[in-house]
Amino acid sequence: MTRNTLIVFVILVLFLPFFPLLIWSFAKGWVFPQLIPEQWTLQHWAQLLLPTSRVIEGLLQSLAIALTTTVLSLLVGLPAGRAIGLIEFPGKEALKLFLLTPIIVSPLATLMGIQFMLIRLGLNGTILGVILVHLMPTIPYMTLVLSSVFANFDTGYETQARSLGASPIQVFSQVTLPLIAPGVVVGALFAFLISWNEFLLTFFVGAGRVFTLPMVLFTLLQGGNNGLVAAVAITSIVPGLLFLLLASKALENEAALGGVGNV
Amino acid sequence: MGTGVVRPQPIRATRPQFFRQWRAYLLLLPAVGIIGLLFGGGLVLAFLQSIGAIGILGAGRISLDAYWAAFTNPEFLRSLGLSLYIAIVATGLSTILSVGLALLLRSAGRWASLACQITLPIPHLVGIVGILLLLSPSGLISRGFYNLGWIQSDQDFPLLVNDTANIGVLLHFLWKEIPFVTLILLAVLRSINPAYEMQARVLGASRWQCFWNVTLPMMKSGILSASLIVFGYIFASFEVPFLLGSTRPRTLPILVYRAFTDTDLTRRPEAIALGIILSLFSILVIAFYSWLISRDHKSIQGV
Amino acid sequence: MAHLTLQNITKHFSGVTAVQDLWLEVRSGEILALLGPSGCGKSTTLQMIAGVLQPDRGTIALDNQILNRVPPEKRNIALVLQRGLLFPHLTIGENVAFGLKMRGVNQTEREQKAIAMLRQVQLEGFTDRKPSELSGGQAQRVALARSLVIHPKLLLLDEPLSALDANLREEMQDLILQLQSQTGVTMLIVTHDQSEAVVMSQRIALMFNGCLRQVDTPERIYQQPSDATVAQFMGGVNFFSATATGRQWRLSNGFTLRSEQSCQGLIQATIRPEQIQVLTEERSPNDPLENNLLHATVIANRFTGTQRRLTLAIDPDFTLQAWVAPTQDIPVGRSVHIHLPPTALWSFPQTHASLQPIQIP
Repeated sequence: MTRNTLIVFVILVLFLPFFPLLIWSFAKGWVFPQLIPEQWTLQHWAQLLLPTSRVIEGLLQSLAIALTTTVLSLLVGLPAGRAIGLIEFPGKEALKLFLLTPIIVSPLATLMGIQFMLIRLGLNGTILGVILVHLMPTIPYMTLVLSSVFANFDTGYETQARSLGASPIQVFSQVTLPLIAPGVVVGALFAFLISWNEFLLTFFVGAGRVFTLPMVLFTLLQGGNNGLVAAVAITSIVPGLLFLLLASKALENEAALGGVGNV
Repeated sequence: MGTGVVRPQPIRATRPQFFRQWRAYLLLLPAVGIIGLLFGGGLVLAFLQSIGAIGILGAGRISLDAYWAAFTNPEFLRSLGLSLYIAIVATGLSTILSVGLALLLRSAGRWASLACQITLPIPHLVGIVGILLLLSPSGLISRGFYNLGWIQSDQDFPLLVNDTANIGVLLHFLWKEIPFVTLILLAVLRSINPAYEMQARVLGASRWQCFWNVTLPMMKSGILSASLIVFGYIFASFEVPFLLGSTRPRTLPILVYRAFTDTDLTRRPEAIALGIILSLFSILVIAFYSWLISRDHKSIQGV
Repeated sequence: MAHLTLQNITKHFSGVTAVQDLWLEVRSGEILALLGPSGCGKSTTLQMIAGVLQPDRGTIALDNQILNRVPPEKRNIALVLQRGLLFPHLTIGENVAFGLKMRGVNQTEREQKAIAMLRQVQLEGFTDRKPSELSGGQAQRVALARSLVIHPKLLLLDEPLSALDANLREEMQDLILQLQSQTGVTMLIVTHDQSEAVVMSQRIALMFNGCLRQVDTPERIYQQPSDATVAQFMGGVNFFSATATGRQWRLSNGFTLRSEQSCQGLIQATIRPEQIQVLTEERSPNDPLENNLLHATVIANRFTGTQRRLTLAIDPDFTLQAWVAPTQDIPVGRSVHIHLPPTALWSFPQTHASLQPIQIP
C-alpha cells in the first residue's frame, strides 16, 4: 500500500530531529565526521542531577507554573465555554473573537505594558507574575475546546438529574463533568503544554529570576555543551509526552479538538 | 413554506430570554475580565508608554515621535518583509501538507495518528536543538553525507540553519505545525458525515471532483481557523527565528526585542511602538479572517 | 429504464455477514421495495448497487452490463438518502445542478435544467436559498430533484421518508410515485416500514439477517407469507398448528376447518387478524357460515382509532386476534361467533418453516 508507505515516511521525518538528540545525550566527544560516537557516556545525564545545572530547579518551577496555570484556566474556561457553547446572546461572536486575540496577536507590545505594571506591583520576576501572563494563551485554548464540547452537550441530562434530587454541585460533579470529561482533558492538555513550552512570556516577565526548563535550555544553548543540551532537551519532553499519551483517548473526541478548528 | 402544512410551534419552557443572556455575560466575565485586563490593559499601557504619557523615566512630552522613529528605522521594512515571508510560506505549506496528511490518516489506524502527533507536546526550544543538531554543517545529516562520500568536508554542506533564506526556521515550523494542523483537520474530517461524499460520488463526481467540490469546502472553516492560529503564532514567534534564523535581517519580534533591551533607554518608546505595529498587523489578519468567515458563515449555520 | 440484476451477492464486515447470497431482479420501470428491520443488510445492498461499497462476491448488472468494476460516478445510478443530505455549502440551485456540473455541462444549461427540475418538485424560486433554510420535506424534494436531473437509469431511495412527519410523508409518497410515472425510472426503495413498502411498491423484497426471505407482490406478502417470521414482520399475530388432510385442517381442540389450500400432515397455520369476522347475533347450525364458524369469548377489546383489536378465546389454550371496525364495540366477556374465511387461512410451505424469532422494530 502506497498510503501506508507514505504514512511511515512522514512519521520517520517527524522523528528525525530526535535521533541526534538521543545520540548526543550519550556521546562522549562526538566530532565531525563520525556518524556514531566512538565512546559513550552517562555523564550528561548525571550532570542533570547536579544543582549547578539548575535542571531540577527548572523542572520543578516549570511543573508548578504549568499545573497552576492549567487549573486556573480550567476554572475560568469552564463557565466561559458553557456560555459560548450553550447560550445565544448578542455580541457572542465578537466576544469569542476577543477571547482569541492573545493566541493570534503578538504578545510583545502587551508584554511591555504588563511588565511596566508588574514592576510597580512587585510581581516582575516572580512565579505569580509568570503564571498570570501564561493565562493569556491558555484561557483562549481552554475556552475554544470547552465551548465546542458544551455545544454538543445536552442540558436535558442536568434537568433530569435535578428532577431526581441532585443539588447543583452534585449535578456538576456527577453528570456534567463526566459527560464533558474528554473536553476537560483536551483543554487541560493544551493549557499544560502551552505553559510548559512557553518561552517568550517567561523570558520577559521572569526577568531571569524565574527559571523554567525552557530558560535552562536557552541558557545552556548559548554555552555549547551539546551533550548536556541534548539531555536537558529530552528531559523537557517527558512530562508533555506522558500527558499526551494519557490524553490520547480524549484526543479522538472530534468535538473537543474540532473546537480549535472553529475559531 | 411550499408544503402548506401548518405545524404548531413547540412550547418553550425556558426562563425569560434576557435572564439567560445575562447569565451568559456573567459566565464569560472571568475569562473576558482576565484577558481584557492582561492583554487589553497591557496593550493600553504599552501605547501610553509609546507616546510618552508614562515611562520608566517618568512621564514626558506626549508625541508620536516613537512611531516616526519606528517607521524610519532602516531595518523596519526588511524585518517586516522577512516576518511576513516566514509566516506566509510556513503557514501556507503546513496547511497544504496537513490537508494531505489528514486525508491520508483519515482511514489509518490509531497508532498512525498518534505517531503523527509526536511533535505536538515538544517544546519549540527542543525542536530548535534537534534541528540544529540535525541540519547544521556538523549535524547528523552532514555527517551522513560525508560518510556516503557525497561531500568532502562540512564546508560543502549547504547552510540550512542561520541561513539567509531561513530554511531552518521554515523546516522547524513545518515540523512543529503540521502535526498540530493535522490533528485539528482530522477532527474536522471525522465530523463530516461520509454520506456526503458517497452522495457526491453517486451523483457523478470522481474522487478528485468529490474532494474539490465537497470535502474541501466542508473543511474550509476548519482550515481557515487552524491556519489563522498558526499564522498568528509564527508571525509573532521569537525564539525560533532568534536561534535558527538569519542574522541579518532579523524578524520583527527580534527587532522589537533588540530595541527594547538596548542600553539606550530612550529607544524604549520606539521599541514599544514597533511592538504595537506588530500587534496591529496580527489584528489586521484577524479582521481579514473574520471577514472571510462571515462571508460564507450563513451556509454553514444550522447544519 | 433499466433492468437490475443482483447475483449471489455476499458482503462481510470484519467477520460479520451483512449480506448473504443475495439474488434479486428489479425489472425495467418497476418500483421494488427492499423491506426489513434495521441492520438486516438492506442499506448495505443499496450501497453496493450504488458502487460506494464493493461486494465480496457476486455480480451486479444493469441492463446486462456488469457494474462490479465501474466506479460509482460512472454507473448512472442515483441515490437519495434519509435526510436528503444537501451539500450545506451550496445553494439549492447548485445542489440540483451538482451532478450536471460533474458531467461538465455548461453553466447556462445547468441552471436551466435545475430550475426546470425544481419546478417539477414544486420548489420553484428556491434556487438561491441555502439548505439550512429548508424544512425536512423541502430538503427531501430537492434531493429527489438533484437525483432525477441527471436522468439516472436507476433511482435508489434509502429510507427517504423516515425523517419526515407522518402527514408530510403521504404527500412525499405521492410526489415520488408521480415523478416515477413521469420519468419511468426503475426504482429501488429501502425501508423498514411495511406500510410504506406496501403503498410505494409493485413488489416487495423482504430481507432478514442479510438474507432474502420472500420477493412478492404486497398482497401475497400479506396473505401468503413464506414463513412465520415474514408473517410476524408484516403484522401477523395469529399462529396455530393443525393436522391437515387435504383441505380439511383439524385443530388440536377437535374442530375441523376448511381451507382453500391443500396440505398434508402437521402444519403451521396463520390468518390475518383483519380477515376474521366477528358475529354477535345467534345463527342456526345450518347457516351457510357454519363451516369455519367457531365459538369464542371476547377477553380484550382495545380501540386504536381506526379499528378495534379484539382478543378472542376459543378455548383457554387457543386465542386469536381480530381487527374489526371501530363500531363493533363488543364488551369483554361476551360470547361471539367468529368466522375464518377458507380463502384467508394460510399454512406456511414446509420448506420455509423456520420459526426463529426476529426482532421487530
